Amino acid sequence: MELIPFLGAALLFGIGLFALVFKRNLIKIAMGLSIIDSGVNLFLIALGYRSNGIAPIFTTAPVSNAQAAATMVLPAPQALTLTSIVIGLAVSALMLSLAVLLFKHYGSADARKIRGLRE
Amino acid sequence: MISFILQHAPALCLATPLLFAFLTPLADKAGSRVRKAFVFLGILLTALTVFTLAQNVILQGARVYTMGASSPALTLPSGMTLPVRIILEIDAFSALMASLALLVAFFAVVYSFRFMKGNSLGKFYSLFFVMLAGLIGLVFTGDLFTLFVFFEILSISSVALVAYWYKRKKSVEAAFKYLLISSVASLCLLFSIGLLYGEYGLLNIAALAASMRLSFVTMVALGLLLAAFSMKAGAAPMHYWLPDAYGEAPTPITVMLGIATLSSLYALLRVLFTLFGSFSLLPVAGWVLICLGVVSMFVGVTMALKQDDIKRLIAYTAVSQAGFIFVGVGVGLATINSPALFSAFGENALKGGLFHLVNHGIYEALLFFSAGAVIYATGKRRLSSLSGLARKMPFTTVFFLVGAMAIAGIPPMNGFASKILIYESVYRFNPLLTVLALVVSVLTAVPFVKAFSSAFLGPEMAEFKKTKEVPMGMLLGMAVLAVIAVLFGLLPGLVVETIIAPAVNALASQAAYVGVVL
Amino acid sequence: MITFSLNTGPSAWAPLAMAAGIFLMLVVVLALRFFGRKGFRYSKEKAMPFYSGNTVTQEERVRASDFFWGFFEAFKGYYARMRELHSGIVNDYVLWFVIVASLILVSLALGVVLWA
Repeated sequence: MELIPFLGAALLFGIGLFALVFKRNLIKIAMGLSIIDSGVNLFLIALGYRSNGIAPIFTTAPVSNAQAAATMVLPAPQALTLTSIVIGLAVSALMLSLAVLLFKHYGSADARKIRGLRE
Repeated sequence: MISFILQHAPALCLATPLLFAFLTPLADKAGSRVRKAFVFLGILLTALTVFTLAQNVILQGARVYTMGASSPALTLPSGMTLPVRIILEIDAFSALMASLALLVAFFAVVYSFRFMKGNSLGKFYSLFFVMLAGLIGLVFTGDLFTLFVFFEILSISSVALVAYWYKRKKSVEAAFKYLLISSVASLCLLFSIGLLYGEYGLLNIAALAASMRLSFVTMVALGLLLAAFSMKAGAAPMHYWLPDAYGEAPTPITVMLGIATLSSLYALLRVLFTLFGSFSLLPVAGWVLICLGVVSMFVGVTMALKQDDIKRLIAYTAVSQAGFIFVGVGVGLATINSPALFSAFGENALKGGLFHLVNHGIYEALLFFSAGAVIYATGKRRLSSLSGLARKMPFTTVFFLVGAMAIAGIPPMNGFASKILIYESVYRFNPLLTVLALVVSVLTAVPFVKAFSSAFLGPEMAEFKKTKEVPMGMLLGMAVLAVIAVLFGLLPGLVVETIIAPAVNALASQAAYVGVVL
Repeated sequence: MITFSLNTGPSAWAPLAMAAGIFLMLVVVLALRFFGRKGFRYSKEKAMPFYSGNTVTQEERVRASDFFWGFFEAFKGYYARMRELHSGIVNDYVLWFVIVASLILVSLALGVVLWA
């Protein structure tokens, strides 16, 4: 039961990697990268989870401070995930704008046709 | 004042480029002269701070700087047993990488004052400073997640700089490919950081190194880190992005991309030697590096022979030289667990690898600067349409010749000194590797014979009658780098003892790194 | 102790000695030239290069793409294969990363099984 988020993260990673390797459209490649990003973020969040845990905020904890530390979910992975989401946003924005520019230059969004730099 | 700077130097090294990055667009509004003066001031201040810190660290040992604590050396706040704050740890290897990076970056900025034309260069310099901040942060950090963040900062800003001439279709294509490869590498890095956090609950490199043990999850994390950082360092068969990105970027950015590749190599070494230093699987990792290195050496040099575009030719030889560094470091890594073998030849192999890393940074920058000078003066990139430029551009010819001799490993240049260290130490490990390295070294001279003879020697061409030597600002960087290349070649013992040996000692002894923090 | 030669384990490399030797040779070469015949006046026809009896002009020069023709002919198969591999398609770049990463993981697993 507790493995479901990890399996979901692995599945997302696999789907994203499949899209990166086998899909030719530039937008689909950008989407694949975004899916891998979501998968890794899900993995990071799932790492910090404790069963029946509460949010890691001391002031609103329904239990006393002494017991709170034992039942809170770990806050560090949440900070890592927030940073990673922001970085993923920057990468997606840059990748999509480069894809739009490439379509303007080459007239096609097919990775097989955008091969000006080869050999 | 000086003691304040020295005490807070690690944070200042990060803060200065970021400050100048965010203020450069304002300076740009005031005109191009103000912008040039402002950018020059920025790079000068950053370089001075980094060199001061580097000298301090190489002479007096590793330093640690805790962000947000009441005093910079307070790594374990009251009562805690694990370091929880963001800690920058600078040891001799980081100082060496940072000094090399700033040396090349300073001359890249001076070069770009003449090379880059256009009115809205505020964005260019702003992104340049962000990239520099990411690079300095990458080599100074002591924390895995901060490594990831600075790695991403470096990658994203260098992608934007590769695509700076966005009206050229090849630049945008190169930037897209480079972005995809960078992002795949960083996502694998984040995944392995997650795995390590899940296994140990720590993110600090020193704390993780102290509590490392053999387990399936750790092994998977090591494999992914090795693959991701090797890809960014240009190891074949994952090197395809390197000639594309290096060839299509503006020349000052190509030089900085070379330094970014060397920083990925730094991150790889930091992870392998310091984080996984007590892992019993290190010899396997060493052999993996050796295999990657041998493949890179051959693929790089044979593809370089065929190229017609001058920058792609030099980029493929960069892949080949990265292979040399991998072989040297791989032999050092494979012998690190057995002290007898390590002191016999492993340490020399590691010294050779690191010395080659420094020399590689210097002569690659020199070669790309001279190639950029040829492109600036003639407007042509293909070697087939160039001929007889030595008459018009004598200084560029001499500097290209010095760079070509250095990369081919011809004495008395610096390339020979580091290569002979690698040959002799790797021979004791496995003679076949030395034979392969010698063959590749001889072959490395060949693409440069082709480039030099076709571009600089040969009959004069009518369309180059009006070509002049490039301006002084561009020649200055080439001159200083050429002088350094010759000096490092004439005094290799001095260089190895004063700057490479401390770096090797810092890298090889995990206990020293951990001891500074815990 | 500051040494000026590089100790490479079994041998030592002293570049300053080599540089001094080269300088000495240059002095000897210049001395020999000094004892040669004076009075050569440079003129363009006397110093023109030739390739097999033909003058070298802009149209008849050896272009960079024609260098090392014999080498490329001998290794035609290898270069044809390399050209196919360097296809320029970005999906192949990622595929190579996946292949190498899996090979590394497999070799690490083998290392664990065999030695630990």
